[in-house]
Amino acid sequence: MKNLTFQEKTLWISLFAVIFVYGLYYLNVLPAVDGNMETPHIWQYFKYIGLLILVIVIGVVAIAIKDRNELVDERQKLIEMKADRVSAYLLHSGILVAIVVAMFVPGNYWFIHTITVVGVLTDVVNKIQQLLAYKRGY
Amino acid sequence: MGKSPNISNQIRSLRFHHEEMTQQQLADLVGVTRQTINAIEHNKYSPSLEVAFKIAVAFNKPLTEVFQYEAH
Repeated sequence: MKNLTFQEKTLWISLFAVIFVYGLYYLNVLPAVDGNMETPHIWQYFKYIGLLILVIVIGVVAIAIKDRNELVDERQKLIEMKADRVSAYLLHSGILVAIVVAMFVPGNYWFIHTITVVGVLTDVVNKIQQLLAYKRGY
Repeated sequence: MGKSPNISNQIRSLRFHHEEMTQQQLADLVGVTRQTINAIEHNKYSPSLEVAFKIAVAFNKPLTEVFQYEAH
């Protein structure tokens, strides 16, 4: 961790937080409901979102205490832009899959969760791409 | 910007001839991270013209003495 930039450390923390929190959510919630997403399910989802934000904020604050003066330079911005471009294609493809799910699966539950899975996968792929680019140098 | 196999540089030897200037010291002068200086030095990343000029200014050398381009 010593040779990593603030950006890389933030990416690692966000990646672990997303995998951990959404992993918990899908393990606990996904098999339990079918048909429609009701108000209690939505509140449960927001609880996990709150947990995700909390984990990321605690992690980022912890590393910011040490690296608070570090800037974001042109290479880091380019790495982020490259990863965002690929993620955008993935997101658009995932939305098409969600539309197909909405057409053929009754209720809104699987449609909503296809959207969330697509969002999570897009985010994970984006962060992994950035981490690989940092490892290669660009 | 990005990665170009045709661009090489003399940053390592220039740092050596400037009292073994560290990558962090150069990074602070140029306004980038130490890791970006490392990536430039090892030809993994070609900087923008602005950063290239800032590096040349830091060593008080013309740009062409710091960076070389070979057309194949």
